[in-house]
Amino acid sequence: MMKFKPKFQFLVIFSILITLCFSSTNLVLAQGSQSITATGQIWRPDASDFYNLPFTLAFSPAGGDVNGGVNWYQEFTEADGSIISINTNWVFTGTFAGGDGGTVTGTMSGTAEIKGYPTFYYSGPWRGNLYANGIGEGVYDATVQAAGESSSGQFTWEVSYPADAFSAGLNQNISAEYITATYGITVANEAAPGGKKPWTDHELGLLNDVLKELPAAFLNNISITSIVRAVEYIDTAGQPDPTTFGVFRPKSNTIEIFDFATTAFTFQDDPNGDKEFKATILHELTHSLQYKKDEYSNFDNPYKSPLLQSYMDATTPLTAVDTGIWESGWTYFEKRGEGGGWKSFEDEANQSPTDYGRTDPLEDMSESVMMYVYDPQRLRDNSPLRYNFIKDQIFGGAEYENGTRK
Amino acid sequence: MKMAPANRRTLGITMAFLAIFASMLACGSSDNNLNSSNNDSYDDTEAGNEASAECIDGLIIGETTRDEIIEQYGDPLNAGEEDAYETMLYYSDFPGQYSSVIVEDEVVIMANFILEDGNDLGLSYVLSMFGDPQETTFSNYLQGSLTYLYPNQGKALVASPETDVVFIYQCFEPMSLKRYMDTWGRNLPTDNLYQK
Repeated sequence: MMKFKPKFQFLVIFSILITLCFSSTNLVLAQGSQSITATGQIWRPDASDFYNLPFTLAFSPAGGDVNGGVNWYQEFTEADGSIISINTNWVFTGTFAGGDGGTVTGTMSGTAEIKGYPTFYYSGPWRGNLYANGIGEGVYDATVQAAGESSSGQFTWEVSYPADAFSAGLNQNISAEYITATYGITVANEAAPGGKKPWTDHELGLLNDVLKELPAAFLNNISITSIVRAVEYIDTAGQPDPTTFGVFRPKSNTIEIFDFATTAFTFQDDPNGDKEFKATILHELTHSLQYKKDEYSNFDNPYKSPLLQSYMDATTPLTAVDTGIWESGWTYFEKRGEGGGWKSFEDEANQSPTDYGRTDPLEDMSESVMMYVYDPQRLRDNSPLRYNFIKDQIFGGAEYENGTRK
Repeated sequence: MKMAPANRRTLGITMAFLAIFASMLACGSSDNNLNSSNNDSYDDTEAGNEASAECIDGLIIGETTRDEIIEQYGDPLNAGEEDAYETMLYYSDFPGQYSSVIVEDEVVIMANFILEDGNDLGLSYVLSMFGDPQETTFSNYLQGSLTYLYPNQGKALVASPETDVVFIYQCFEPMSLKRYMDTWGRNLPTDNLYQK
């Protein structure tokens, strides 16, 4: 097999310099879409002389198809004055699982047309780096075979980004006005007394990530007039509580999301707290479901909600009945001289998915809905009764995988 | 533990409660406003000194007997005895939530009533009747609810200051705040349980 080996030593030096001083190119957000274009260059590491080719891949951070390619044309003048031209057109198609790290895999095919050079055969690796906005890089690795002018092969791209930075640029098109226009929920986006503050672009994107995945069956049954970002919760005694994630205020149908919601807490796969933030929003939205009486009013007492009562019924394990019919599922009663309190009579195979969910039935339901979307397997493991009720009665049959509707 | 047949009879709390407030107004009970105490200490010198008053619907703490309760409300859903107390449970307006009447030596010493939804009994109205609570602390009933304590008057409320709704009304023998916190209020949360 002949090697593709043009005799342009200056090009080798040039290529090495470029490789060593590899500079990042900008992440380009495709306007109106959730797509990143990552660019970089690739080179032949196994050749004494090699080319750097500019390389582009477009991909969605949510995962899915990856498309890109190399379109590169260059002319070289030989010592004898002859001209050699190289015209490379490679098309790359692949898939990406989604997220801030992982592997893009795919195939490439195309042509590398050489003019002024008699033959072109090549087989071997190409490697390079791809950058996006200088925030992260991935190592590209491909094996390419060429025969004549055509070439084909397989490639992988190991994506590695700081998760926060990875997703930070993805939601620049999501504005407070967009949320209001799309979902009918006013986003309070200005600083105000009480520690209220504007949403960051990233947070607006996360808010949209939550809302866009909710089916009509859910969205049509909540009443939210406004959603607010604030530094911390001011409790009913007027004291600040910096460890509160969020709150639903039934009188005004307002949700407040606090700084603590950006703290990774509930989920193991949440390195930057984004999942906690989204889950907190969904938790508070679920409280709105519990309070909503009709288009115009809320229940004074959310325990009157038929949905909540059905939830309590549906998640009551009959096997928990031991000392009397009233000691089954969630109950509130006087603890014989110790004050009133909630107690859940349930078995191990049917429990709220979080410790916090064991506070009362309202929190149980909100935590379970949160898990239904963001960690459905955990909810299935803890309580199939809860999973099935939420699937059928709240989400209209829609199911989720890591926050995304299947 | 004694068990009685389930009796799907709820206590008619709302109307009775409103009637009590009317009678309190007539008797001038609302004049017995109490000062808020320091949250960090419960001074035992504030001994309860108020006379027992009607709690609800003729129920008088320290006078009404167990038999009179059964005569009025029927057999309880459950009557459990533990230590010196007997707790009689009745259905409330809410599934899973039970109003309770606690009896000692055949006499009612405490009653805890779950009020109906839409009872039109605003917290602000109740506070204007009872005066400032002797103590306010958190509640485990639902997010945003507080417990308003009037131990000298033998009363406590669980209510939402945001929505102005009273959820639970409790009557007991008047006592000092310290004694209340050592007995009926032993498990009241002193910190906010709710994080979201």
